[in-house]
Amino acid sequence: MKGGEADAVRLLSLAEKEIATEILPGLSADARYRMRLVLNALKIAGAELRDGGDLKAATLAQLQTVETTPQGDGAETLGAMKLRLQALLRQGELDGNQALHRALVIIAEERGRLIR
Amino acid sequence: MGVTVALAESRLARHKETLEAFLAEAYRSEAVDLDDAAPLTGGAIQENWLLDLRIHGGPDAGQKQVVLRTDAASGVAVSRSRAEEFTLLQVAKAAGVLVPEPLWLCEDPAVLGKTFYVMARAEGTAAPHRFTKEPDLGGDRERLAERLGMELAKIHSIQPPREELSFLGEPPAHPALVAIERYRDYLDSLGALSLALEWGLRWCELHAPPSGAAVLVHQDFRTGNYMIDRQGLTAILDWEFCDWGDPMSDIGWFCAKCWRYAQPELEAGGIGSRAAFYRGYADVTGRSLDPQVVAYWEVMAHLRWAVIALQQGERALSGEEDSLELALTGRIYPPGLEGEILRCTEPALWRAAP
Repeated sequence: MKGGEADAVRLLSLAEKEIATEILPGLSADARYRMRLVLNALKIAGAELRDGGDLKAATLAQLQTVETTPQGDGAETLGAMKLRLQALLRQGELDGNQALHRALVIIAEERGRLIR
Repeated sequence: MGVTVALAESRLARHKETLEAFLAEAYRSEAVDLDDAAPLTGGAIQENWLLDLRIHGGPDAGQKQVVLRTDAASGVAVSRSRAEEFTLLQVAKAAGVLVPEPLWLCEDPAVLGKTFYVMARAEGTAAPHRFTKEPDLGGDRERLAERLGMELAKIHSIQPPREELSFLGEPPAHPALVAIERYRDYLDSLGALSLALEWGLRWCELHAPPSGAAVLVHQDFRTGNYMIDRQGLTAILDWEFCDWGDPMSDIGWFCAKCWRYAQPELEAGGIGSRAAFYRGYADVTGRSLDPQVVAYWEVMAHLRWAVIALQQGERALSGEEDSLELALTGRIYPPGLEGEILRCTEPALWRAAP
């Protein structure tokens, strides 16, 4: 809250709670399924607003642990780094690379956490 | 499959008269009344309608329920046409596969405005959540897993060349490598930079087993695409992705963890043991399955489903379809699939490039 105005994360969180406790229990099976989809979308959007920036930074940091030839420069954006690693993967330059595998496992887990 | 709206509210209502005339001729009857038409859930690409018919005269006089299948508003490019699907059903039925009997194909746009076909109604349900909640559905589940293995083997008994299946084209020399290239192209066209999927694709490229003779592959043979009642299996559904390919791709798709729903410990589609499914398959083919080759195709299955999920998500994001379900599919499934792919392809499981 800031000056009495709820921010996007708080609004979404209240909307989720309203749906889960007040609306869902009274719905028929088909409508409940549709409303669960809405609830899921709100949850994911809220989590992304709250943690999406951190996830991008963490992804970049994880991928920077992977030593490659050529090595990216320190100012490389996440998109540029992914493109470079994608090309190396396709060329077979990162076959079985332990550091990359470790980084990808952590990134997948973090991404999964955002949607749970 | 649930019934949700009556004929009067349905999109079929304005075609009632032409449809009745078509059915009357098909049934060699004096007249057919279409009393009700209700959409059946479960098709994102096709529309399925349960039709309640009253047939006046002819060899089938009386009341009958049949299913009409036609294209939904938004199709998928890789999906077979309804006419091709009808032919595939006929070929599968002739090979002894348990399918809903294909009755009539109609390609005259004057009847419904688009091609459709009519098939017999199969009893039971295909809804995976009911499989989990109602353990008595499908009869003995080990027997069901075995039966599914037998049905899949019968599908794989259909081999090229087959003139009536000429629309499938030439069988690929190496289905796995062709699929890997296609998935990379899809990812590129989507602008999807997924390093975990790229990792999996590279592993599959390096570890592709030698491919055997091509057969007809269903390509969506999984729990959710067959129907069961209290006694057992009643029909294999959804033939829209059939092609010539490697039979092990269907085995891997069926057993992949992503299609076991709420029962991942039941490795045959979340309904039974892998041993029972394999046994059924081997009983018909006379060949036992190589677990390593199946494991390879399970990695391919997760890759394929991840790419499809991203494609479905893109259909919603691009504005092609305002579907929250599709948007969530593209968002929810890939991280879990990536995790499974990475688990199955850890560095110790890589061999050196040739």
